[in-house]
Amino acid sequence: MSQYVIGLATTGVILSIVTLALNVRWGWAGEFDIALFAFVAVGAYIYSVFTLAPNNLPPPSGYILGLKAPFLVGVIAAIVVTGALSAAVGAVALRKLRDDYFGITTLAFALILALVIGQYTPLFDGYEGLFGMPQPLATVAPFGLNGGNFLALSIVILVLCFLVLQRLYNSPFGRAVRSVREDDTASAAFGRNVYVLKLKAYILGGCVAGLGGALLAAYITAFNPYGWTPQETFLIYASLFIGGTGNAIGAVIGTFFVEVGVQEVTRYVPQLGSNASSSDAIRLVLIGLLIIAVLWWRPQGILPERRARDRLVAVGAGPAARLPALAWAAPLGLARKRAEPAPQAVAAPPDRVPAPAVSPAAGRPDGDDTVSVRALQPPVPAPGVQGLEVTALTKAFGGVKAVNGATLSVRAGSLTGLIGPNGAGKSTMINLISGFESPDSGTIMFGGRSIAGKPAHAISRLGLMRSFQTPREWPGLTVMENMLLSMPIAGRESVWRGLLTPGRLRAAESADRVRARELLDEVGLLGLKDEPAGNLSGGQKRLLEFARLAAAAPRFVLLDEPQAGVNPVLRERMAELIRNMVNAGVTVLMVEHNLAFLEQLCDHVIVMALGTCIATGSMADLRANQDVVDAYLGQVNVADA
Amino acid sequence: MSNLMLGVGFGLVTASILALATVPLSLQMSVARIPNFAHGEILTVGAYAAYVVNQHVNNIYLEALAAALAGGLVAYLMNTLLLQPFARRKPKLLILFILTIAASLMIQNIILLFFTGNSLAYHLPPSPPHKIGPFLLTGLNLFTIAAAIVVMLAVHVLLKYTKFGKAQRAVADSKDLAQVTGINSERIVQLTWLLDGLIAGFAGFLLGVSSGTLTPTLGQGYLLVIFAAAILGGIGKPYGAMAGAVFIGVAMEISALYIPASYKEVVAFGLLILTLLLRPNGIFAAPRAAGAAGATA
Amino acid sequence: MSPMPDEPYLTVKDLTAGYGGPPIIEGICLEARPGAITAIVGPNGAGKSTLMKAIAGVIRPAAGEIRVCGKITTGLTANKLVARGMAYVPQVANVFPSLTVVENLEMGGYTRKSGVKARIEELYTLFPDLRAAARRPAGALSGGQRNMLAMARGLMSDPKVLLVDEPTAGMAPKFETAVWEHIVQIRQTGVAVLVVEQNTRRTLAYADWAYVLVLGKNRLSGSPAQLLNDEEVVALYIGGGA
Repeated sequence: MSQYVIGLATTGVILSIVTLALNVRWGWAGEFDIALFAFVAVGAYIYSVFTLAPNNLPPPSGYILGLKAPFLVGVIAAIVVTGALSAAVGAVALRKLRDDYFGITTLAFALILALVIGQYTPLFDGYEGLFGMPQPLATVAPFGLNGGNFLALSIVILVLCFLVLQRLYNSPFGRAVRSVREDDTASAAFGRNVYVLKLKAYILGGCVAGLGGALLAAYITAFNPYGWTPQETFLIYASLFIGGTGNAIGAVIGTFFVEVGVQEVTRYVPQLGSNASSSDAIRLVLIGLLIIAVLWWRPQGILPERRARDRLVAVGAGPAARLPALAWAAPLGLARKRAEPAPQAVAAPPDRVPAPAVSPAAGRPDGDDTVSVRALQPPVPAPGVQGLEVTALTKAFGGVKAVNGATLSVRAGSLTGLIGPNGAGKSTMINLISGFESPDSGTIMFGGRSIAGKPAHAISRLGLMRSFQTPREWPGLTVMENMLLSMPIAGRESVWRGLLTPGRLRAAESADRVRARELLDEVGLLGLKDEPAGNLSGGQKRLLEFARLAAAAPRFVLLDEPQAGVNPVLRERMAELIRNMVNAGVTVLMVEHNLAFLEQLCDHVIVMALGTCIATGSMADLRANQDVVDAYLGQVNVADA
Repeated sequence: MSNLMLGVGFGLVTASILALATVPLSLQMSVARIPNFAHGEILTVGAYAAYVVNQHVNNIYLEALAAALAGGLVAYLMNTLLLQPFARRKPKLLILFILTIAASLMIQNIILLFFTGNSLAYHLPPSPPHKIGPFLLTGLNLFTIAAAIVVMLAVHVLLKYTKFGKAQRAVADSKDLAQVTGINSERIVQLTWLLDGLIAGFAGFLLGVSSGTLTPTLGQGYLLVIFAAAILGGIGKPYGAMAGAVFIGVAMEISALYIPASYKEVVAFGLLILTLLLRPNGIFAAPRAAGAAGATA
Repeated sequence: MSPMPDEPYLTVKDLTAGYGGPPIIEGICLEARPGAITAIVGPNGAGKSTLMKAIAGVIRPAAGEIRVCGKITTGLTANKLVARGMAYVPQVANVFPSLTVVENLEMGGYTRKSGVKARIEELYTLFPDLRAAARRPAGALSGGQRNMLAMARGLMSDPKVLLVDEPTAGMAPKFETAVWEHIVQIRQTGVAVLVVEQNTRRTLAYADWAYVLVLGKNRLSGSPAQLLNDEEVVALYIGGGA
């Protein structure tokens, strides 16, 4: 192979690593980060700083650190520093910003970084750049001299990188990050701290970018800031868009296409007049056109994100048992099926459910050691333990009091309705209880603890979950992935577990998959388990939402108009599912406008109007209550001026 | 002290150019709701169009006109040919932003293709500095400041007193309500882009004059500074944009007296980050109210 | 039973519309006659707002026909409908907050060839509060004043049909009366007013004719007197019946 081709291949391989870094930030997490180029540059510089020999000449040619460290040390240093820098930038930039402003913020950070690197001569040698970095294996036969050794090394690193990232992608952590991209509100509603997840993804992407930078510096053996500009980030984006956002192999293909393919093709364009940069210019115009074309005709790229197939892995006893299996609350609604074993189980789930040390929600019932997972009995709620007490709650939006001193209580284990005309404040009440809004004043006690003002993800981890007026699923993920994401998290989404113990995670998840299949079967969606959830019809999404809520093993569920948009045929089913939930010991508070539907389910109903609770009782009582009738039908006479 | 005043004087020139570059961006972002990453390129186009004229005729008004027209054309076409077709598919806002990035790449490199990357310069008549009060300004500086004032006044008049200007403000408030009122929102957006390009192109010309050299990255270098001024002043408030521009321009120039000059942009970038995080609606507006995720009331 | 002798300014036949999924309203038929207040009432989820939006051109109907003064307007975008004599006053975001009261009114007269100032004067007599607040930004007005401004804005184009979506939503009872009195005055000028409202009893007190919508379909219609005494109406709202 000629040296030229080897050079091309090496560039392609190293830049593929950078594209994989972008894939973590943009493909996995949906973060439109423009600062990537700066992290690559930092990686390159740190590698250089560590591996350069000391020099007697003063700066800018000399070098203060002069550690002359070996290749690996330089690389690790690059990864660590870019990781730390990513943490710093991400911690600031990932606070809730709209996507485009986030991009601009990252660009601002990157430009500051670039300026500092460029200007701070004592350490970074400014615009002179650094040179003379040793390339590993360069002198080792047989391929050292024409770069073949380094190419081989780069390929090995790329493959390692690829494998590590794939492992994380397929782990619960990866799935959680992708859920944030799909619908971060739903992720928060199911117990995830969205900010922390996004930050972890940002840092991970930074580390890989630093690795790419270090390799680039080692390969080119010289580096200066002119080489890395925001434009370079856009070339990487082009690679990712074209190759396939979210698809690691697509990322590599896209990189070779853009950075090697397009580059080479335009090299042969004859120079226009005296313009030495004409082929560069044409290349970039072409890439701009390609980006537009891809976004218009095939936004998912050549290789779209792979759809996760649900497969059950054979589970033995042993290591799998050491992780907390999740299915310690009885699958809801399985009462009818308890007699037959689930047909799909490949092997029996572990018999031993260890005494839990890692239960995330205090007081949550866990099984005792000897009982098999599926036969666990639902806990009998102690009275008041799962009840909800709201006192004098107030919330105003821009001067208008949506909730105005509302007080209500929901008895543990009951199925209570919440009704009222439009504008009564019911939706705001739900948002306040579930943590999506924080109250201006008043208290909310759940199971004896105060939850007012807590963030949504914390409240959902306490076992209080909610549905949404329009079902919020994670549309780009499959139905099964949606179910798995809804199960209690129990520490599975840690990056380290994802990296180091994938086998155990898969095994522990097997039990979840079995249970998920049972629940999907309950709601009649088992056949669609590998479909992207976004393809489901409205009614199906609603049923999926139920199954997901059941999967979360909640103690309290807030239902926000569960039968809105559901056709009458499904309504019976839905009523049955809600009843099953309550029978299994869950407390339910249901907002509904369809009073006929509500009446068949709820013995106890609370009425809200104009931000306060005006009456409670059975529907029959309420119908006879003049205040309630007036609230619905309206008053004619003006009470006062 | 006199150094400070000199700094302020230079700051006024910088601020004038910055204001001329910021006000159209602010207008365009409030009406069309897309941050235009190619805004810097519109300035560059203006600067180069003036250069072309300058090669044949040495008339500052013709050059200014060419700059404005070129900028207006490019902006109008970018919206009509690229953004509006995509917008009809109702994509995420981010996609439209990415398209402006692609446009920025393309425009910059088309300029590179036709004009090479070499630094070009206008042939300008010599312009000695005059002492005006505590400031030291050349004739061109004065032209710049005067032009900025005239254009700002014109924009003010447009927005406050003409039917079109009011329609722009209406569309900026609520595109849907404007439609319902009988305004053709899409048309207003198109014309706003045109206006944006006219003013920005002219600003690019003044930028070229002030910086002395033209390169294809002329405008992009200022992009974040312009964004900083626009967001600081509040998107859609032209007077805010002017205030933001003055603030940033003067802050940058004054900071250059105390820290190495090459770092003065860091001041602007730092202000941009702070504004985006703390006051994304601009320094004159209330802090962003805590948003609700989930269902509406 | 025909309520009024004149020809309706607005006819809607078999209108079906939604937001992309299953239709929210199906097969709706109604008429609005000049110089009359036609009310659309019904329990929550009935699709009343959706119906308004479909007539106003804000959402595109999937099926059916809408005619304003005999001419078909189905499928036209909202801004073209103003020229056809229809004006729509939405429930939320119904004024331009950063524009002054006068400027809001001027925008209402955007499609007028002439006579904007004169029309503003006429509307000031109808809505005196607006004259006092003329130079204030609309965002600084109270909710009630904003709804008045929104209605006045709608009237700027001399519409034949005025669609008003929940004009009294969230208002104190004192303001409700004021709003209704204004609507009555608007009716006197010969406009066909189509009103959607939550406060059913009060609406029926003022309306000339009413349609009761349930779950996206016509259920009842008649004169307010008939409907107020009909037990079925009460049952529709809070159940206990069919």
